[in-house]
Amino acid sequence: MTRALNNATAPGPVPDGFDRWEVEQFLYREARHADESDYDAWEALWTDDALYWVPAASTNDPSREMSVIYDNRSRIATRLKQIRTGKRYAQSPPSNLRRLLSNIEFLGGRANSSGGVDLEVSANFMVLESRARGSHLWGGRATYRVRRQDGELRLAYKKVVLVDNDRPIPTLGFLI
Amino acid sequence: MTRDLGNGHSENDLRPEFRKFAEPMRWFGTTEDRVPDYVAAIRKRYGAEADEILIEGGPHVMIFPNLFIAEIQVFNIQPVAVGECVQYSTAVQLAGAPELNKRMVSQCMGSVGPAGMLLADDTEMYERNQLGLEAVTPEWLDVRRGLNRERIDENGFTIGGATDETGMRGFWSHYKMLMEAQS
Repeated sequence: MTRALNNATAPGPVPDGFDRWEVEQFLYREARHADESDYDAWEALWTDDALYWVPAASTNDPSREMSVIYDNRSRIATRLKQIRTGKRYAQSPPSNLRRLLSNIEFLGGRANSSGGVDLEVSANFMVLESRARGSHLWGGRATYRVRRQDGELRLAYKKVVLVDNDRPIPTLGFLI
Repeated sequence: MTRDLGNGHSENDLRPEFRKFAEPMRWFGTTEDRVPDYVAAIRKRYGAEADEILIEGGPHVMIFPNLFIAEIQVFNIQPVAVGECVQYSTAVQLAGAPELNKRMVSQCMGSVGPAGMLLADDTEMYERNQLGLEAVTPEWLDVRRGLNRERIDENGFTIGGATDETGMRGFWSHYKMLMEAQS
């Protein structure tokens, strides 16, 4: 699995053309769409070769071992299509959410399949989820790969490493 | 149909449905040409019986008290407190079937686990059931569905319709028997 191997190697130098303010605004926007369960706006951020990955602590090779989420672009679409039916009972009614991002770091560059270089950036996050069974605090570190496509920033990759992914976790029905 | 296998075990026997269609690999939501290596290996090994295996698929069985095998995935349910269980899940992997194994991992990951497109909704229902139980009033949890149409199959097992509570009745009557003091 190329992506998994990619992940094990260090990124190249930070590519040109990514303004820190613009990238931060993009990450905050992605967070807000997820918080507000704005599925159309959130989905529109992704590139066609997207990967949305939430590993468990034991996930080394996601093609052979379980992850919490390991969605390519097509499965992201399937996931959102299901939520939009209103019959995704884990999100019906939807969770009330707000998250904070901090410690945003530009990590470097990753060559992409269209010949360009994506910016790899990571951030710490905390999400407060409020729902019928009570409130739950989710936290961890997210690594993003951001691409400039037709002048706009788009999301090619998001890996979410929960701090407690070595333990049983409750239902995760919202977009983390 | 559901089948009470005795000693608390039960299954949802999906084979009658798949036999109606008689399409190899339909049980896995795919067709022969998508998993050619697996299908060829099964045909080579089982000859005349291969079609039956490829059409009927894997079991959907609850092994008392806490092991559940659902065709392509395995669950182990561990009670950790009166109001809390941990459910572990992973993909079934077959010896010598890398082509199918890869697909089972992918399909399992999409379906089960805390964010799974099937299981997250199931666990939501478990939690709502638990809330219902904790309400205490009404005092009884009714699991009579299909009681009026149960039959005995050719092997002496009690069977009911696909959504009948035959399996749950089998589970809880065995549980009660084990938990009651010997008189």
